[in-house]
Amino acid sequence: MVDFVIGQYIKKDSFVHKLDPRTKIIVLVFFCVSIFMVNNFYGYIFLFALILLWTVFSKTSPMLLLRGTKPLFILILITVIFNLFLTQGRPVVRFLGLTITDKGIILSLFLVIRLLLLVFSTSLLTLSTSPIEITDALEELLKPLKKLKFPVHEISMMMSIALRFIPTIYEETDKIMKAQMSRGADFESGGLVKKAKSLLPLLIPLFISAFKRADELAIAMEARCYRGSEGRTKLKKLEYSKNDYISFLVAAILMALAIMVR
Amino acid sequence: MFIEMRDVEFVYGYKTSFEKKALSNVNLTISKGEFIGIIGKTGSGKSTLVQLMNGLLIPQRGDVIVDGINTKEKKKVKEIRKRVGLVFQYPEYQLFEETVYEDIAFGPKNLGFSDDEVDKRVKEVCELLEIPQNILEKSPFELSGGQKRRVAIAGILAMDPECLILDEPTAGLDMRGRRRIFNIIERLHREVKKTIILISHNLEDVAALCERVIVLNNGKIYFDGPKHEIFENIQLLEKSGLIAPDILYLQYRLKMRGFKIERFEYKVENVADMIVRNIAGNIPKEGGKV
Repeated sequence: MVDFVIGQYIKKDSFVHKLDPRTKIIVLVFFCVSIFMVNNFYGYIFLFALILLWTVFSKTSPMLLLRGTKPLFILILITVIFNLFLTQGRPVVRFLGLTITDKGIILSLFLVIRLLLLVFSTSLLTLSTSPIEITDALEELLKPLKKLKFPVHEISMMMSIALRFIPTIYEETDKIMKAQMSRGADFESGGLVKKAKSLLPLLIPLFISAFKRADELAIAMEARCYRGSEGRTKLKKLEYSKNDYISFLVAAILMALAIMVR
Repeated sequence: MFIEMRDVEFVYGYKTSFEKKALSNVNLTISKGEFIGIIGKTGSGKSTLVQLMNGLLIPQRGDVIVDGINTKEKKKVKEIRKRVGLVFQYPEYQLFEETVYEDIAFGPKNLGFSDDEVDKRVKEVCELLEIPQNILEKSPFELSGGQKRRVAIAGILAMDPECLILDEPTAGLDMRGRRRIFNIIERLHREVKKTIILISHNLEDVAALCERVIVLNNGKIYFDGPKHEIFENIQLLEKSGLIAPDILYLQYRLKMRGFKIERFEYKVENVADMIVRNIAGNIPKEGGKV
């Protein structure tokens, strides 16, 4: 569990940590788009340069980023295998009735690079931005949708509550599991059906307490006069600073270069 | 020796960046039939200690041996859980079956007892824990707080463990519910001869019930011995961040004012007797219940 890098936040005092979360999200969105618009290897140099800058200025250890790719290793492997063998083109290698084509090699290399860039950039966002900041920024960015009666505030509130309770529920799962194991429950052995059945003593208490907690939270929020977004002010107002404009500029130049090199 | 712990050290999040040492240098032996109270501040390692005793946690260093079985032997983990039953804090959160009967039967069924035997055990523990027959077919979620608690304890006791560990068994119950649980625990010890280990924040209860007390402080055993040695040395107790029961402070004050107190008492009725003896010498002993 602990080894999962994507989604983890590490508190640090850095240039990137102090940026407006909206800046980081906007850059990330454009970055993801440009990953798929770049169509030759030179373009990716610029994108990797941006990742490098982001890593350095957020004081993130590159080893941590690399470790974050571990859970995706199998996914990358499978896509590479499919692309390598199933792409039409000029055959390069032939063995055991399978052919590897030149296009296949290039396409699978592209895929590896693209997946790595995606993982790196999203991990960098979450490593340098706390979940609360992310939901705040999303609420701010999605505000125009309010005109279409889209409940922006409510959804971002739901997101932050969900994020807030992940560790709590994790702890509770651990506790209930231990309690049932003390009663001789076995969560590990047996076939698929038996394993699924053995989860019942865990899931039922977990759901019951989750509903109960939701109820209590709702009452606690109401007791403090929460009534949605109407007239609600922010403790920390998001504001763009000089550093944000510089970051936008640098990111925009690098991404433009990446796309233009064709 | 029923439970033996040798140089035990336990670290949460071992070999990750979140390492947190919970216990170190723990040496402990527990014999059959003892009644032990474990006390200590929040975060002193009480819950970790008892989870090591039934193999839920495995120490990184040192050994925990239960009835001759090392908890590190993964295959014998059920044997250990059969011998040492652990009732967690707020055990009612583990209830999940459709009926009370099924829930109490969950443990013994997991241990592979025959249906007849399971039935016998459920009936037995219901009697011990004062669970009326007519609620056995009800859903456990319909019961009152005190009933739920007793049903949850019954679920552990139905596995017939030699040793019963209770982590704050009365937390969140009213006075009547608390007294009821403690009466039951006392009977389990006296009549059914179970080894009992009780974790409690309430030193009054520990003082009244237990014979031996273990005090934990910052993940280490701070004191281990007969209860009078710690409860009569209030300074020592306070140094570990705990406060002695009121009933002891009362006897201290009385002693300072010239009362004759040979031995400190832990139960209200005994203290009352002692005060009466001191004041009037020969007022007749109170009879019956209050």
